[in-house]
Amino acid sequence: MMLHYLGRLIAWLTPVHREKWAQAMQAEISAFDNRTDAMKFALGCLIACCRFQLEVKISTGRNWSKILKDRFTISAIFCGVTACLIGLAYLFLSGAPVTMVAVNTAAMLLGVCLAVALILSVPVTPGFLNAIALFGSLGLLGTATLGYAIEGATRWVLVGPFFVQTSLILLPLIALGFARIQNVWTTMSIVLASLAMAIQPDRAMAAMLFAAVAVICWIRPGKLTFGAAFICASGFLVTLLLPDRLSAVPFVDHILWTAFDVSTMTGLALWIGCLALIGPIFCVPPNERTVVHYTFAACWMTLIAAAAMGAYPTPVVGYGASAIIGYFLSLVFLQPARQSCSERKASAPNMSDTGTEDSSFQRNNPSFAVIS
Amino acid sequence: MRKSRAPSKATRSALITLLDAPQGMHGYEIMQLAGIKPGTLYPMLARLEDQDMLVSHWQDAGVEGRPPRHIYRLSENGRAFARSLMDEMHSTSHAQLRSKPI
Repeated sequence: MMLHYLGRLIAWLTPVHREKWAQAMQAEISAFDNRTDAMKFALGCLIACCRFQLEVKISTGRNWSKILKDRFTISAIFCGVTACLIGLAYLFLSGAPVTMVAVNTAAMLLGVCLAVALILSVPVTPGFLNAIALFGSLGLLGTATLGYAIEGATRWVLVGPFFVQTSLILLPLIALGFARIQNVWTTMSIVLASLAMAIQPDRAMAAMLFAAVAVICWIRPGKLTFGAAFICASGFLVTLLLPDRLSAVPFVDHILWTAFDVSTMTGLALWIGCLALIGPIFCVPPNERTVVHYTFAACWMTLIAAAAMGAYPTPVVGYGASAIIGYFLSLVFLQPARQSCSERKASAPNMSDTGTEDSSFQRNNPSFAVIS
Repeated sequence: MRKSRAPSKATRSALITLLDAPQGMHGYEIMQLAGIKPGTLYPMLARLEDQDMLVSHWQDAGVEGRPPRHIYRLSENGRAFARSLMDEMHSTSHAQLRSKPI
């Protein structure tokens, strides 16, 4: 009786894609004549099941070779690092304080390391996307209400001696989360983020959110996307109506024009560095581009346009760690989706064949599938 | 075939055990001969199969009321890899013998 329950426990604990191994263990247990030996073996098999479970929990199905083959990720890392290096050269040539050069360098290294570590270790499941989008939007709302205010704008969180503009890190993630999955949770996070941008107020970031959601709405029209686009448009309109008195900060704002004062080459290089941020989309063939790629490009293009038009931070090339970290972190949300356990059970292929996890995922779950 | 890491002691032992049994073995047999615990054995066998080093099939238990058992044997890739491990072991042991002072 006890062995029977252990057998059932083994079957229950084993992940779907390893079901064949649960059957093999059960068959092996029933082949024992000695009950004590069978019990010892069954208990050992329970450990094997736990290891199978652990394998599922910590595995993203991605390794270095997959990252290297992913043209968008590799080109985005390359373009981001190039933009950072151009920005560092500009800061150095224009006589910026050494601390600014050091902060941007540290942010670049931190951003790349964080992005690669997360791509390798965090499975991007729908639950993960929902949670990050929702908690991210709550974080933005928290910044808007409790954050550090300068000249009427409440956009920053003080982390030690650094002012972190949370929207530059979280907003691209929220927009990309919505591009990946259009459900109640991600839509709610867009609404909260739009509200936060209106409260802060931040025209550039509100425009970025609106542009990103408009692109999603254009490619994936639906009730949720239309609703989100309307809310974001309203949020952006509110920021346009509210006064924006924040003065330009040297080496952060207006640098796309002031860099020409250093030299024409510096000014051109800064523009090239900025435009390189949207370069990764051109490394993906048009027929392989998805709504997520277009959203990524829309986010950063809007920020560049805002920086060119007003006193808003110039992303990545200007001084500021938040945009650099935000750029590299957003690559995590560009990784192919992974099904949750329940969805895997529902779409599991016949386990008598020896198909691997990767192949069954690729069959059942194409990249950036919209899971509503 | 994916061979990203050097095989563990248990994997080496299982591969060499299976090399001597071209007809295949049950899980319990491998466990006994290679001295591996079941908690290690099945994840390792699953990994070897993922790496195309192992093939498995069901074999009738031959006793009424008992389910068919899983039989494991090395694939061509697995045999080549197990042989290379054997050669490596032999060369290491020879080198150790040569280096011993007389």
